[in-house]
Amino acid sequence: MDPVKLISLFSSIFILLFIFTTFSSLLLASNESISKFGFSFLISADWDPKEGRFGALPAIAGTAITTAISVLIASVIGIGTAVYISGGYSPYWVRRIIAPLIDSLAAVPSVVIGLFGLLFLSPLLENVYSLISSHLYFIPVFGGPVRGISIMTASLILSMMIIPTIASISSSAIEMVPVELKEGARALGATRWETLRIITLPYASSYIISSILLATARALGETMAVTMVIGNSHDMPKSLFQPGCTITSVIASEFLEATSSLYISSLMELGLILLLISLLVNITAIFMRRGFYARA
Amino acid sequence: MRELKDRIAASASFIAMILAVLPILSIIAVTFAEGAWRISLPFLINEPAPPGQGGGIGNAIIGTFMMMVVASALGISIGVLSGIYMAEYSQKAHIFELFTDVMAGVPTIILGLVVYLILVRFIGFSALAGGVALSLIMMPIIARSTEEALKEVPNEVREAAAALGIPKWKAVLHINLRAAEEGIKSGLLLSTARALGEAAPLLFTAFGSQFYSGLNLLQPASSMSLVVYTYGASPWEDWRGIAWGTALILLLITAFMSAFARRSR
Repeated sequence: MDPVKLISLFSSIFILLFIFTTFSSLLLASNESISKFGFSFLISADWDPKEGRFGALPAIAGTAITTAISVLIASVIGIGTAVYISGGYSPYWVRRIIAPLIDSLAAVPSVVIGLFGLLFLSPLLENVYSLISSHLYFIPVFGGPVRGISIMTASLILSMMIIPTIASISSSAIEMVPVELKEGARALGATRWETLRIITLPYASSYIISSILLATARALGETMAVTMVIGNSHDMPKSLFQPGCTITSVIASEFLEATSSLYISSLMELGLILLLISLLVNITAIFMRRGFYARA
Repeated sequence: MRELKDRIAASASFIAMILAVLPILSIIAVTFAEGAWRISLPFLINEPAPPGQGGGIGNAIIGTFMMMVVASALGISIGVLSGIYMAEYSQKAHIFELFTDVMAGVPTIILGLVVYLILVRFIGFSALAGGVALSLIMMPIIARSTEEALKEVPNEVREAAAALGIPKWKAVLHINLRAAEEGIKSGLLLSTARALGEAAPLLFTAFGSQFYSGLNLLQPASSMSLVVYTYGASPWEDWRGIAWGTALILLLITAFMSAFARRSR
């Protein structure tokens, strides 16, 4: 019997079992909350630990809003950057500098980005927000009092964190498109932009979408940076410029203070919800990428 | 007209690139400006002190070190072995790859919750639990990079080893792994850099601490990432300064590690 095969099989089984262990331990731990609140946990906005009432709606809404805004911003900037780097718009030496710089943004610890957001960016943004709010107060999401520690700041911080994911995966997707296709289009007289629009981007689309999904999963699960800049308020968000909370920020800032078993169990259920959503997004991304490889 | 559209696309993509680069440049600049002058020898060795009395992050550095030792021991052994299994033995590698990728995508705060449930409840908040949580971040990254690196090794090498009558496991350990060394090292560096900067899985496992714990793995411990989180949100100027100084150290270490990882890839 091959000894290495045996131990390495055990290691692989450990990884295989990890996800089941995670799921079942969270499910077990959230049992009290599930049996007490049932489905209403998801649609109640009432989070009152003293009275023992827990509703996850503000946290779920906060996660959905911050993720949606950040993915929208990061997709535009990330794909734009990928087009600049790999679409024939940049000289070689610029690429040599820009690509590693953007990759290194991905390596910055999230607490460092959170600190930057909390102490440097949010006071700055508060002025920008009040400017926007004073002119566009009639649009509901911009109205009301303005705070630097807010849902919008969290979204912007998140978009900074996921731009590298989208930019670097999309730019390698563009590079993987067969060069005969690109050169063929150029030889027929297409401009660089037409080549991108008609040939390159459609060909690379499934890979680019998978990078966006991967970034979405990262934004959903990101904890520290968001917790530091969102203010962790359980009121239903009325304006983008006011504090809110996300699933991760609630768990991170309240778990150690949770005294009753129902409180802990509710936080575990929040974790379970987050796990299920991010698994769904991640697995979709993985299968889309495999589809691209099968074709390319 | 067509040329004009091309020009517009060129300018728009250039602006997008500037917007992508701006955050990293400003993070580096601000962290240097706020952090560099706070770093000193006492800062690196002292325990935290009440606001206004200096204080340092010595215990957090030791705590980070202890947790990284535990995390690396577990993460590297299980990660590398699992990579070996996927690349060299498994007939169903795609299933293991799927689960490894799924594990890599689990939010890190969830890892903290799970380690709390299956470990902390029994042994208490401790550096050991923190290290275990961090190892769960490292495992999938190491497993996949080991697998990829081993797959790059040409099959002729394996055939040559088999032709010489070397048992497969000896060939895997002494020949294939050696040939894949560069790629594996880069995965180790990347995963270490990731784990070093993580604070979310430590909140409910290592808990944080204000004192040196004498290398005791069963005591709560602080880490540099936790210092940035707790001190950054404090109302005192000098505590926020400690957070900036620590953030700069973390930024430098992780930047160097990932730069080296990219060079050896």
